[in-house]
Amino acid sequence: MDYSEAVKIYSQQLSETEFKRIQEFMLKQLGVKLNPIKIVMVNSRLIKRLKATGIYNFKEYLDYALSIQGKRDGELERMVDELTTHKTEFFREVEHFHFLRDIVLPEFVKGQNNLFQIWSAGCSTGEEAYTIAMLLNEFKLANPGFNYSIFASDVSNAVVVKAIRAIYSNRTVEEMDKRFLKRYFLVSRDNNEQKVRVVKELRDKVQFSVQNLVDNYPFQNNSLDVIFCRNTLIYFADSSKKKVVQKLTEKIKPGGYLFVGLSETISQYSTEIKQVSPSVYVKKQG
Amino acid sequence: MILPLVEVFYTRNADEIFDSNSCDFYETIPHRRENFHPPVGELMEIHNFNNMKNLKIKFKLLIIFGTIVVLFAAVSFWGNKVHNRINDGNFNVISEHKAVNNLLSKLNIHLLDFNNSFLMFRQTGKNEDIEKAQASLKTVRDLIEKSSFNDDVLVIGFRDYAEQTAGLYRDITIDLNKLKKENNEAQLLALTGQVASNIATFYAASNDFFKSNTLRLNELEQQNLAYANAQKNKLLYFQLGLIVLILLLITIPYRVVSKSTNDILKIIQKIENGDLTNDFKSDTHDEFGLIINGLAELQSKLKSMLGSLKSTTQNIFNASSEFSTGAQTISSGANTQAASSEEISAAMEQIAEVFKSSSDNAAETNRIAEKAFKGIQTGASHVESALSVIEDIAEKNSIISEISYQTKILSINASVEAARAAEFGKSFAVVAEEVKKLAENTQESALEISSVSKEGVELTRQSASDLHNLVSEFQKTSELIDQIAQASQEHILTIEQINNSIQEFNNVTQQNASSAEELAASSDDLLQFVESLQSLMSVFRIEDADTITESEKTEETDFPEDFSTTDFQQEEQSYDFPEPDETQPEEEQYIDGNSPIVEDYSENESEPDVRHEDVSKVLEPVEEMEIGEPEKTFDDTKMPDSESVETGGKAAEPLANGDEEDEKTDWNISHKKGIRINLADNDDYDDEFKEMK
Repeated sequence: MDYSEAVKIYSQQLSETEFKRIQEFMLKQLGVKLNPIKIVMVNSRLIKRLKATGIYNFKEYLDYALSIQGKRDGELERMVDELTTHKTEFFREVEHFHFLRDIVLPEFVKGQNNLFQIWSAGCSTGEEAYTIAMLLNEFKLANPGFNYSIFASDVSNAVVVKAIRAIYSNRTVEEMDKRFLKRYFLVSRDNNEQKVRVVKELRDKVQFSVQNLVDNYPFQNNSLDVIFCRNTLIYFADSSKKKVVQKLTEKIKPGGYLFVGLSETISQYSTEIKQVSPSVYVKKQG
Repeated sequence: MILPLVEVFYTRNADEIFDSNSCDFYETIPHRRENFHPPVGELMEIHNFNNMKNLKIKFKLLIIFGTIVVLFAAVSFWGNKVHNRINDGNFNVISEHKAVNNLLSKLNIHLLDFNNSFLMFRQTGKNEDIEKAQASLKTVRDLIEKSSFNDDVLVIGFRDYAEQTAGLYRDITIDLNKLKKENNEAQLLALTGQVASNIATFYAASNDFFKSNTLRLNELEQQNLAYANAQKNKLLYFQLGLIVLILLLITIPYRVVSKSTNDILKIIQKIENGDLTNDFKSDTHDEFGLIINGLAELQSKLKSMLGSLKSTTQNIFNASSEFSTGAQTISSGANTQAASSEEISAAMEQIAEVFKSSSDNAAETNRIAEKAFKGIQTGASHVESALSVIEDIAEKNSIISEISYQTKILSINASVEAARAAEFGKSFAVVAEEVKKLAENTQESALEISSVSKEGVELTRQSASDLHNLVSEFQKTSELIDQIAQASQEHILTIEQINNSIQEFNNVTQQNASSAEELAASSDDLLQFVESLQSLMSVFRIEDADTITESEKTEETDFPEDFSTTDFQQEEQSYDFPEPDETQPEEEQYIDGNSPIVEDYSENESEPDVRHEDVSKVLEPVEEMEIGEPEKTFDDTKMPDSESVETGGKAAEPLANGDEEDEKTDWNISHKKGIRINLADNDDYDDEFKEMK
């Protein structure tokens, strides 16, 4: 790209009208709320798409991306990928994993169950799902007879593919316990690559899918032991938040747990759940 | 300091230029330029030196080629001159040959004519013959006189001889005329003999002349040839010398250009390779010097720019990592906020509860108090009416007392009358006595009632005033309770407001969390950009090798060795997980395949359907799709064409509820209903990875 093109692209400004189109789309299709202040963020994120498609005008770009052709070409998805935030880390908000390990799992094995089913809803690039997988595998080592299934989903196809690839930069695992690293990660042969990959055994334990949380879920009611839906609802509008929380709750077994982000409070959205620890909710029995 | 005189044309060779150890001289150049004031004597030298160096390449070339042209012209001019001279010599010889031949042949012809005419005259004696002879002779004389051989010695001799001959003929002619007139045959014959011998002599002289002339011309030719030969060699040497000189002169700019371009190329190559650590400077001020200095300037600017860029990107890097952790802190810090706000919210609800119950109690109390107040008020009015009743009683009592007194009087009168009636009045006296007793009793009772009612009035009055006091007290209490109830109501409202604020605060907290997460994501992006920028910029070396390696050593994280240096157990953020069974070393678990993980998965392999069965217990049927072709899928996965995606959507349709479907517009992406993704080539990527040490 030459200089004049760069200038042309970076001088593009997202107008209020176009921003409203995006707002409406995101709210209606994903339940995601974009506050007016996010116009700057949307602008800078969409410029990447402008650059990639070569359509140097927001209006024309949106006309294309939101058209049937845009959907067919996959541009709509790529736009959504760009507009959604995929922030995640291994062992992010570690208190939850402590809670899972120290409270949820021991409680589970006390019951007569042996297949622990957990869903990472809004898994982004898979770090959370693999963290859970490592944890559950560790637990399995200590508790023979225990078995588990992990489902992970995200609305963005691209991040799900990344999650399945399970290739991460060294930086993402810098703070991880080295025994976990050694046991569950491969390191790139090419030293310049600075990449790690989750081992196949662990990768195979996580079943990934593309899932919009405002749509219907392919799970039966009262079937899951735990749902992790952390730092996902923060992007949702209040109404969709309520809807999603209720739908998630439906899928959890009575006595099962719903983990949300540490900054989130959801007790106001459902009467079926009760807070047991900061941002950990249990579905009431019966 | 005296600058060493460097050749005008030759800049230093590249090694010298780049040899930083021998750089004293060059390093001082800028210093000299700015601060050095040479003594006057040296100034000239430097001035001249600089003058020579200040010459531009084009002037240098001009001088060289000018010199070549001048030399060439000189040699050509000289060669031309030599050539001309040889040419002239040759021409002279030839033309002289020609002239001599011409003259001699003409002389020959005319002499023959004269001889013939003279012989005819001798036979015929006719005048016209002698005239003919005379004419021929005249022509001969004219030819000789007009001949161009004026300065040649031989020619002079020849001419003299010719003159002499001409004179002789003139004499002969005169004699002939005389002899003809005299008809002196003998003398004529003698004269004829003389003429013949003279002619013979003339022939011989002309022959001699011709011969000597030929010899002379031969000699001349030889001389010319010798000269030509001599000059030819000289010319050849000069030409060769000139060619060598020209070649030499030409190599000078060639060497200058090639050397300088080589230097420049080397410099450019180093810059191209990103090595900006070399100090170079040219002290010649020709175009190449200017280019080199320009490059030096460019390099220094690039260096300073890259330096600031490097530090800036480092700053951005640091800032964005701080930013990232900061955003992380904000988002996880929101946790405390959310938790405490939830606690506050709960506490506030309890307080609200308390206030509500106290408000209710106050209202109840107020109600009771009001009831009591009303009761007391009624009591007071009852007391007052009781007072009036008592007073009424007291009044009525005094009437009773009066009546009983009068009754007593009447009974006394009756007993007196009974005493008068004696026996007949005896029973009547008893009645009168009884009446009297009754009246007395009544009077006593009336008196008692009077005193009691007096006390009653007094007491009732007292209690009425007490009640009045109580009413006002009650009024105050009621007002206070009312105030309490109102205050509680206000408190409840306040608490509701506080709760709303907390809710708002929660919303803000979550918005902050989302913003913080977005920030963190952006700063991660930024971090990646900066990293790629840094790796791009690492091509440029702007510091000395030592400092670079040192700084890079600190920056570079060597993976995975680096992990071994960090004690994760001590990290605050690190996840402490249960110690693995110490009796089974981890390494062995992997090597001998006894690792529980391995076992676990081998189980799965032997029963490949277990997992799927498990899945199917929870998962309702969804479309499975395979995406192959790694280059397409890894970064920029395209969904299969919309047809199959649509069917994917329809497969999950039974779950969808009708209302939702109606909402969907053209651009919905609702086909993403739990589409399970499997990437066929996923395991192939494992080839690029190895186990960690």
